Amino acid sequence: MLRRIRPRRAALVAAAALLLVIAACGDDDATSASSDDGGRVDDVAALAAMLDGIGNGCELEYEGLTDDQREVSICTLGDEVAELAVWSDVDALDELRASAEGSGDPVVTGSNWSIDVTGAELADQVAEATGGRVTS
Amino acid sequence: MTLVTRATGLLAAVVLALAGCSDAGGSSEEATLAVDRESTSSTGAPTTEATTTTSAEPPVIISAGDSIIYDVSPVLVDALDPDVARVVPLVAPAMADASTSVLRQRIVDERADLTILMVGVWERVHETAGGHELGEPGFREEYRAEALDPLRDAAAQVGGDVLLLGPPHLRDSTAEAQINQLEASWREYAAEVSNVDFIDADTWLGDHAGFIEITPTNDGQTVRLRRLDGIHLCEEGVRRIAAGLMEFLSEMLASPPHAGWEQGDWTSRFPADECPPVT
Repeated sequence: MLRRIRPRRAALVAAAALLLVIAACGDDDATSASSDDGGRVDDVAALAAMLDGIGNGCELEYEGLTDDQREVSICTLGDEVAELAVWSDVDALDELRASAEGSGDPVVTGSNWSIDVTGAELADQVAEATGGRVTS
Repeated sequence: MTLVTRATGLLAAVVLALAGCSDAGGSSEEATLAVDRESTSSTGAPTTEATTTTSAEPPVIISAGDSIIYDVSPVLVDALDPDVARVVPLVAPAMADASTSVLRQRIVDERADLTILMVGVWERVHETAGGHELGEPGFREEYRAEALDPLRDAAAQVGGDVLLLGPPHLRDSTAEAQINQLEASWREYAAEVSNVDFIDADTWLGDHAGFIEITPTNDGQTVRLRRLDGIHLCEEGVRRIAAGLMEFLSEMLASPPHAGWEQGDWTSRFPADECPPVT
């Protein structure tokens, strides 16, 4: 059994202050690392439509599920499961890109979207179909 | 690490960060919300003293997973008083790399006290980096290393816990057997590590050996638990799983849910063509 949760006292306030201070100390010219490769899409349905030329295409298993960072859906693409996401929080997309760097596991991204697959060959096909960039 | 010591550590970090800032006078106005500049040194350089509010911040609970828990998370948001806990719903269809990465980062960013995760339908087709699929030799170890350990470590990094929630039975017997294998591995993992727990949601849905779509109630009526697709939940199914979770959370939070949560706005989210009335 997990422990009982107690209220936190001011931890979030302090954390926010730390982030603000660090931001204030940073380079004023710093900008988002978001890539323009692959352009923007409105939703996961539009993203799936860009994959029509790969295998039998990408038929979404369900309409996009949305949280405060992204809209997500899934399809079978070739013989893999692909996770499609359109990001409202592009900073979080940048973090995803950074975490994929050097991982050996490819993710294809555009300005506000990502497609996560397993195989490098399929990732290249996705990049070609979408104009996106492979990070792995 | 307790939440109190975590807060103390963060305050110290704020002070250190300010001290190391070469242009403290140019920092944003917002920073003064938590940091008061109360004096100036003889050289004119500002000195700082951190102050904090005295109000308690509620614990953070991330409710993450696939399209099944997607219907449960809003109930938790509605039922728990925001002063008692802040619930963050997240979509993570599987512990595929993108979802895991996003979830881990969010656990750390939010300093989540508890992360509830329900996956399964897509998790069962997970292929490890070593090329192994569920049931194959080598899968268990690789799955732990690339899916479970990183999740647990992210939670541990911020002093949080993880509740792995086994999904309800599926109508498809092959998929159901695969999920049973996954649940066995989660159960085993939870028994071995300190900040992970496992509960099978089926224990809350009803004492059934397998998938059940419609069930009798105590008053002699029948009620639909599942959608026609054999995977997702209808209103009563969500209500039962949410009730189980609420009991679990009430104990952890030492606070009950809102009265009347069982009939909240969340009940309007179930399409009639997928959850038709029981005739």
